[in-house]
Amino acid sequence: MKFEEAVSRLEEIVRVLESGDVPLEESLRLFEEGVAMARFCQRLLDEAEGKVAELVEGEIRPLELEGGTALEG
Amino acid sequence: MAVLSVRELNHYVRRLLEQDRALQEVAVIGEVANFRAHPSGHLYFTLKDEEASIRAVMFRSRRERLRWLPENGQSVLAIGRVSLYERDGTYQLYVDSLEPVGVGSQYLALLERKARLEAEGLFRADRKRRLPVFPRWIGVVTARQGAALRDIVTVARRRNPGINILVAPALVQGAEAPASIVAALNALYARPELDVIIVGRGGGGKEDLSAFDDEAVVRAVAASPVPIVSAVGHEIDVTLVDFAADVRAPTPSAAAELVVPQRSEWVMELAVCRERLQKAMAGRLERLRLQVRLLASRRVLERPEDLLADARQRLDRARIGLAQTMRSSLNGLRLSLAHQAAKLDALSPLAVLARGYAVLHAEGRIVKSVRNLALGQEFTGRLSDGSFTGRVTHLAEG
Repeated sequence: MKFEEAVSRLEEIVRVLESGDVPLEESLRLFEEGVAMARFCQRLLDEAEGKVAELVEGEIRPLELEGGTALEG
Repeated sequence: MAVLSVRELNHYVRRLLEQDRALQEVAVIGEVANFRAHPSGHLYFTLKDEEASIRAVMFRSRRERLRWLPENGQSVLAIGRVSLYERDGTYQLYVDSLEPVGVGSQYLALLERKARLEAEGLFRADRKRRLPVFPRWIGVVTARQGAALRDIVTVARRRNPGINILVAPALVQGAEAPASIVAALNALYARPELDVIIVGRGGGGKEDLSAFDDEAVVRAVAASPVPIVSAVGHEIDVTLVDFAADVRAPTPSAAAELVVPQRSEWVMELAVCRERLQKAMAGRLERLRLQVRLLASRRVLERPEDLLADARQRLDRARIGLAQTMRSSLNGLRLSLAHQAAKLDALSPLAVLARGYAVLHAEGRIVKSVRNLALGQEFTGRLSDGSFTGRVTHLAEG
């Protein structure tokens, strides 16, 4: 699943639950699904440090830029 | 005759030239010769025809709008003004704009290419795709050295430290650039993990962006399986890949900003969603608890024996009612029966006879009329308690 699909689904679930038009069993099911969606998104957001690599002649190698790839603004 | 300094003389002639309106905007056709691109960014060349030549200069500020460089031997149309450079007395054409003239010129070929590719539908607005909301892997095609790649990587990682970047380096200018760019793009297209691609190079007035007008490069960009952002040159430069890409960014840094979202914003958005989720669920459960409490407080649940007493009472009443109904039914039947019996009784012939009537038989038949009797005829009669015989002695009607 893609991040944006999960976010859309989560927002939809929140809207439905807030409207209150759902029977209890359905509410509980939706709540669980919402929690799962939120966890999935959080996992993607939590990826600490991404890779920077270069593709040369079919091979992937880490990329070192002159001056480094420092994160200071 | 006044004696002038050289400076004064040159100044005078310059003033003379600048006073002539016709010389302030001239259009000249000629062939380029002695072309030199100065490090300062100014272009110096000679414009000539069979019989004459004139020095020409195109300053950096003007030439920044040019996306091509004149070549010796090329036919051009130069528009500018004529003046004198006082310092050395050079009479020259100060060129404001330059256009190639003649068949097969680069510029005309470019226009033709653009029209052709546009007619094929490669630049259609409905082909443009939206950028992914939160890409995990981005691909980059640009020069291995230089500010463009550095800027992209820096900006991308600042916005989202978790972003993964795959770079396919390419030559971005020179004769081998188009093939190199196409190969790099195709190498990235084979990687299914990429969510979006940036293709471009740094810009500025001096840079040759013609590789990004190349037909093969434009077609390759249009064929990208994922959304692709062109980041070629500088704010004002537009190349054909800009039309073929899904999104155009004015610079490589801007491209990184468009492609990589600010992670902290999403973290906040997610936190808000989670809170709304919790609150909505908690609210629901609270409402239910309230409902249950209300129901539990009703009499039914607090004193269940009352319910039983009610039921018993109803049962008793029903029993009494039933009995009463049955009794009255029975009485009714009895009455009815007696009534019918009485009726029956009244109709019985014995009862009639008991009232003083007799049944007469003559010649084996019941006598119902005096006309059926003759004088002297014998008859038998029956009363309620016996029978008798007799003879008719008198007949009269009425």
